[in-house]
Amino acid sequence: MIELDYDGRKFSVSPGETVLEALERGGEKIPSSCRSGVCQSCLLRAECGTVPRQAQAGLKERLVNENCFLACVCRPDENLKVVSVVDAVAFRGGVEILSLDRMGLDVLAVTFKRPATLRFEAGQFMTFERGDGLSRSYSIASLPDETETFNIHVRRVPQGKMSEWFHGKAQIGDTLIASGPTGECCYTGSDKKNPVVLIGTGTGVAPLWALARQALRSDHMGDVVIFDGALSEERLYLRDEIQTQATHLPKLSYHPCVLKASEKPGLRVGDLGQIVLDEVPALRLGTFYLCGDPNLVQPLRKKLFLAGIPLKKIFADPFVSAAPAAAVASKNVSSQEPVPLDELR
Amino acid sequence: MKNMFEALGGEAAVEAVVDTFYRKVLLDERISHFFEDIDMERQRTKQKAFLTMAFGGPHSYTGKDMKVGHAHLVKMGLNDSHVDAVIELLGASLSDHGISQELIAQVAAVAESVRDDVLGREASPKS
Repeated sequence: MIELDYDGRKFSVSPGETVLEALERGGEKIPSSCRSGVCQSCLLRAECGTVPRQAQAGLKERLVNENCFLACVCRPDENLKVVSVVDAVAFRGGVEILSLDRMGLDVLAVTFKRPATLRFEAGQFMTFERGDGLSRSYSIASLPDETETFNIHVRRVPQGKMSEWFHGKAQIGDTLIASGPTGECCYTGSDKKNPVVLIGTGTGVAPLWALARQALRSDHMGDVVIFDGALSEERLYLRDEIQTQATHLPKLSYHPCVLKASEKPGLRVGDLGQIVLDEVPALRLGTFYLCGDPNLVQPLRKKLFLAGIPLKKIFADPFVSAAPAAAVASKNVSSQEPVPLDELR
Repeated sequence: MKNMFEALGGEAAVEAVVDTFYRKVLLDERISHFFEDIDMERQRTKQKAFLTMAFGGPHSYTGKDMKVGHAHLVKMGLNDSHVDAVIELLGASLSDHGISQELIAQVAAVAESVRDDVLGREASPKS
């Protein structure tokens, strides 16, 4: 008899029975619909034990790596400890601010001491909660193998409660509660020969630059192409750092883009989405990552898909601002997914 | 008939066809508004479930599931002409991927079999 632990409660799985059937027989209510491994309503995560391969068929790579599986087609052949995915936040705990460093016009790099149990992948984001309960999400700008610290880039948003606090009041030594990580914009390493195309606005370039460095360190063989968009040139706050790297890394190319400016060499002027779409024929085998302003990210995702890029090769992290856009967004996001309550990171 | 899912290429074929089909519906003015969803992954997953069913693949949707799942679209005005368009685009997508007309007709017949449930009607005599 196979034993099953679900959120701390014990169940037994009869021969031939699926995890979903066993849990339901034990009185649990698990969301499910197709019961045949297609709709992904019954997604769970295995904390201990190996699930049969067919229970992960069709799942996105990141979910596979996190040991997520579909309960309705999982007939386990060993004991499993599983948790519901909604509650499966990998880390939650206090993080101490070690430094606050200004970058460019209006961005602050906030560096935290990294707890040993906090694991993440380049490109993901964390939610930070202040003592009074105010919480916002920010993308991680550092790499997973920097084990002592991790950092985020916070852009000052007028009337943004958390960003104003970071920019004006936060002190070295202050502690916030961090939980996460979350987010799909990660380098999976499954398609090393083809381009990695990174498109960001504002501080969207922070997680993308981390993702680019991760790809380059992982011996990515295809090109790594960054489109960094901002309203004006002086807001391209990582431009010098990325361009310096690009001069001696032939695989890395960096395209600074601004909406309006006089034409000059090395600067792309115009609508960022259109600039990217014009390059699609040369990049059509690539994997696309989009981070930043939802007004860019959401429509560009659809346009890239219609231009022939498979949906599984487009990863998007729209930086939803805390109010009132988040209220609108939350209505359109399924309950399975946490709503990223961000200021424009 | 029983092995139509395998004859069409199974899971891999569904994966290949689903993006083509999703693009066609998003670009089709007759029906695109029923498929607009800010969460494109979720929308794609639904369409994959539909194609799997239409291919005669594994699923356990009941008529009630179909009714409940489409009730909000019926409120938006979903009618026979929209179902016709979906079946037409499904056929065109399969054709793009080199599926024979004979198999396409079988897929269309499966899709046709859920028409009344999707539209929230009692089964009509012909089905």
